[in-house]
Amino acid sequence: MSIRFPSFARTRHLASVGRRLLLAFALLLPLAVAGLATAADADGPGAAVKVTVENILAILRKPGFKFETDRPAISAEVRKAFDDVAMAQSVLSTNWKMLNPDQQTEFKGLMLQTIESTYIGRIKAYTNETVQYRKEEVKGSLATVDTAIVTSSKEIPVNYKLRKRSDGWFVYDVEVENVSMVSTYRDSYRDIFAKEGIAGLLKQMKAKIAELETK
Amino acid sequence: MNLKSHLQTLTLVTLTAVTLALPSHSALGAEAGGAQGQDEFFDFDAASKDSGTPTISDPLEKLNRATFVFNDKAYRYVMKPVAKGLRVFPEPVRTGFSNFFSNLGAPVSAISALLQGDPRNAGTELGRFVLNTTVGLLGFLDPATDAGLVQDEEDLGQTMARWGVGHGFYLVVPLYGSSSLRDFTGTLATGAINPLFQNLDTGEVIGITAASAEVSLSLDKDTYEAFYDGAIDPYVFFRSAWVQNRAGKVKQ
Repeated sequence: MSIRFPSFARTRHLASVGRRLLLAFALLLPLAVAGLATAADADGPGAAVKVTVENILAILRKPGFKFETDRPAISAEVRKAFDDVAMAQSVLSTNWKMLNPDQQTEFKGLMLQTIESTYIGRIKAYTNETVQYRKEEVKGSLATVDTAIVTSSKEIPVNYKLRKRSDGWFVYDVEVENVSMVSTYRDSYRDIFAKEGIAGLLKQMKAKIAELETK
Repeated sequence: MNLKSHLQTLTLVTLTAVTLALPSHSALGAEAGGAQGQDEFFDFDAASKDSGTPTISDPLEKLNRATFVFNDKAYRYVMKPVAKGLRVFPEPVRTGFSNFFSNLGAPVSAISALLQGDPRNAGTELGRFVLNTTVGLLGFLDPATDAGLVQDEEDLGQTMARWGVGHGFYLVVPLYGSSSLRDFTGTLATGAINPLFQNLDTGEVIGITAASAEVSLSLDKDTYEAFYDGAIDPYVFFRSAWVQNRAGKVKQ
């Protein structure tokens, strides 16, 4: 008895420890797997953003970088990551459907050029700052990836909006300090479209790009 | 007893697995339902329905546009050259001054947070003020951030927004820039209620505000010019950007 009792007690104790461990394992395993899946998800929206940002930073930081000659490489990275159709449709909203296919193509091209000439210069100004990747949120076929540019005096939140296509995740909007690129261009073009139609808008976009190129 | 406990464990494991698996199943369902073909029209408004796009009424557009042109000249010919002049001081020095001016605003930020029913952030802002004023040498350094007290600035405009007060209308204020009836009222009140400014006259408060603006402009990387020059209608571009930025700050 005096031998069996402790042994019985130990077995019970072990069993309860085992049960607790099993329970903890059962609770944690799916979480761990989910965590691994996110971290290793090379095709996810977070990875899509990170690859593009790091590629662009690598171009900007390479020795002998020259904005004029290296710009096409940056432009190629941006175009690879952006969903230009979704972006153009977002900027023009329902007006998009009033354009014929030629006008749609022309608008898409001019919009990308406008955004590039404005934003690539901005990226250049922040070459020496660090980019932090903060959060990835996926809702069905839409995702938000939160990043921040950390400078000596402040943090600038830069959030990317992506949508899932059959060939991966693509950016359709960028929000800098809560200011959405798409919403701002949409507001800017709305009145011009209403007053002068698509012909007037395309003409003004072309004139602006020509002006920016000469600078 | 053993069988029973095994059964219990098994049930728990199964339940846990099912519960944890459920959200991913529904996500899959949503994805299958919401996934868009590349040729389908992308509905930005539906995609951003959580945030929405903020708007503002602008009955004074004519006057505002005139003020906007005036401010642009004042910026390019006066404010920017002064800010560029400040760049003879190394960046850490200017960052120090930026911290100093920011610290002067901390008490009002704390009051605003309190009025918004956020005593936690009020405590953070007050803690930042005490720590940065003392250990941080009158606010030139920012040891509070290193101590985990991260700045979340609140102003009286945001406070009024939390109380349900709308913008009223868009206002471009001479030498100050984008604001609204609500926010500019808040800005004026901010200067008036700041306990640190009680013994200063209006001119001195404006002087501090201008100095603060020049310092942050010297740290800025020509953001204004880049967007002004890139926009077909800079007035609309900046109005849209300002409204979105304010809406984001109110939400935080």
